[in-house]
Amino acid sequence: MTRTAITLLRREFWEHPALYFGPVIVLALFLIAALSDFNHIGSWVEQIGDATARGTLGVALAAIGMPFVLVLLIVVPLYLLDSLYAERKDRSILFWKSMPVSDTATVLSKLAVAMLAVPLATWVILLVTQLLLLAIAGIALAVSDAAPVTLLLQPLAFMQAQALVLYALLAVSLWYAPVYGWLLLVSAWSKRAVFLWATLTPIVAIVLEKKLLRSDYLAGWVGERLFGVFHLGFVLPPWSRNTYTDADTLQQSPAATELINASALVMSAELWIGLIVAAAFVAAAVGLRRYRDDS
Amino acid sequence: MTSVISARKLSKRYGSTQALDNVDLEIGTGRIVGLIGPNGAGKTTALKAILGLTPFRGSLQVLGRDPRRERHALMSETCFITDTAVMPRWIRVRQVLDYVAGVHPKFDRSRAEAFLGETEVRPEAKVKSLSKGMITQLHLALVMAVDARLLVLDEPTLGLDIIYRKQFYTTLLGDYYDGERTILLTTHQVEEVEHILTDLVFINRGRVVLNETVEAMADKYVEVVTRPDQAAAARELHPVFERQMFGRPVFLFSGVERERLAPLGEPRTPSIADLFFATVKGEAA
Repeated sequence: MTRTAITLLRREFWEHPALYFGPVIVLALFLIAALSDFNHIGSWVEQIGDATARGTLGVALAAIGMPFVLVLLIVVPLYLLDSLYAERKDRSILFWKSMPVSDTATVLSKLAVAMLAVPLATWVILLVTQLLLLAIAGIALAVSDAAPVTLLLQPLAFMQAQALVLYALLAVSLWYAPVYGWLLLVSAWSKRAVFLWATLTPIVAIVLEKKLLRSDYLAGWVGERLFGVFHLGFVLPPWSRNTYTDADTLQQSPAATELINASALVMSAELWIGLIVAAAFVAAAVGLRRYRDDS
Repeated sequence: MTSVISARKLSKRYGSTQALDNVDLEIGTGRIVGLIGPNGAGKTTALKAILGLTPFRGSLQVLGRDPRRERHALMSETCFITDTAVMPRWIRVRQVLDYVAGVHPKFDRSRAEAFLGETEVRPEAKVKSLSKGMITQLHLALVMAVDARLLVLDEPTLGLDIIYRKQFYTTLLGDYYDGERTILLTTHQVEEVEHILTDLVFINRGRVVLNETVEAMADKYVEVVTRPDQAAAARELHPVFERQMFGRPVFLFSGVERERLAPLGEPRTPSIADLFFATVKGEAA
């Protein structure tokens, strides 16, 4: 059972190396940026100054995760769109179906890759990035003598950063579940041009609603689904509203964990409705894979 | 004899085409059954129904299971190689083995590796770099390593050169078939499988037109090549089919004793291709 599950997940990473190459490229970019800006790291860290009591370092570490989440939100949807379409396009679906694996298990494995495996892999790669950047910053401080190296040794801030990152990854998975389900459904259904079907269908529906009913509920729902999690599930730090960030506002930064607004997310009807919609889409994708016969 | 496959009134339509029309079929343990028919006769549809790959009407039990509801369970005891079940091009040979070993409870990885060790197929090679013959060897390696009760082969040697084709059936019969396993196969190269089949099922326009053991067939059907002046005498014995070969009439008889035919010429067992041709033509007439 577990063995089957692990095999199904591994198989997805064999076929879609972008799932881990994506975050690894972000890691590489961070390292290149840090090393090429090596001489300025000392003065930059100095800005944190004696804000050790506050969460600045933790928030900064967590912020490193933002491009990783962005990349996840690109590679995961592209992966899902391909996941049930490629096996029909290259006619390998019957080979997969010759194995004792149910259609439900197959489709769920793809959803698990999107919602669990890739977020976890992303977190591990982010962790490596954070540690490497801390090491580079430590060396920079030691060399420049701009600030004591111990400024970077804040286990609490580090753990808080991990808590925020893990929460963010979980929130993203749960919030985008219906989008993921929709992409799986299109992937199982469309005969070609999966990307166009996935994106144009809601756009056409929104335009039709506007023309025929003169309302825009659908546009509201879609917009809320695409961007809503960031204001719903998080407390934005005060400096995020400023276009200019100086040392003072940086030092007012709250702890990373204070940016978590889990209760608002869990209490929101949108989250739960979204999960129900996701379940319906996924069930439809399973049904399509099971009963469709166009091979 | 216990049934491996048991179909009653199996029917399937694709739009206006009746791909399967009330097919009844029983296949027992240990048989090697050739499903013979022209393109579009319903062979592949029948196999897909048996493998749980397509919905159908009627009742069908394969290894005691309903393939519509229990495909994945059925697949732990069934292997299939079909021309349409291609391996993904991106996968490596080692990954194929990893995958099957991970999901298949009856897969013996060392057997597959031993089999592949005898071939040119390297573990790190990607499927897209393998020739068609090597891909078939990979398929065969999986089949050999799975302890299955039913093996379904749909045109397994299509597009292979003669050496691979020969090898394929030799391995199948020599190393795989043990008298307990059941094999159901379709092929256009009937001559190549003729000598290994135990049962024949002819299918035409979605219907089973003949279902015999090869033994019974050899007893029942006799073909005689006569001289033209004996044709009238031969027709007296009610041949089921008549054709010309090199200017000489050839008659096919069903259920006529060989002794009675001896005066007309040398009685012989018809080839499967000739018998099929006669059956389908005879049906149309």
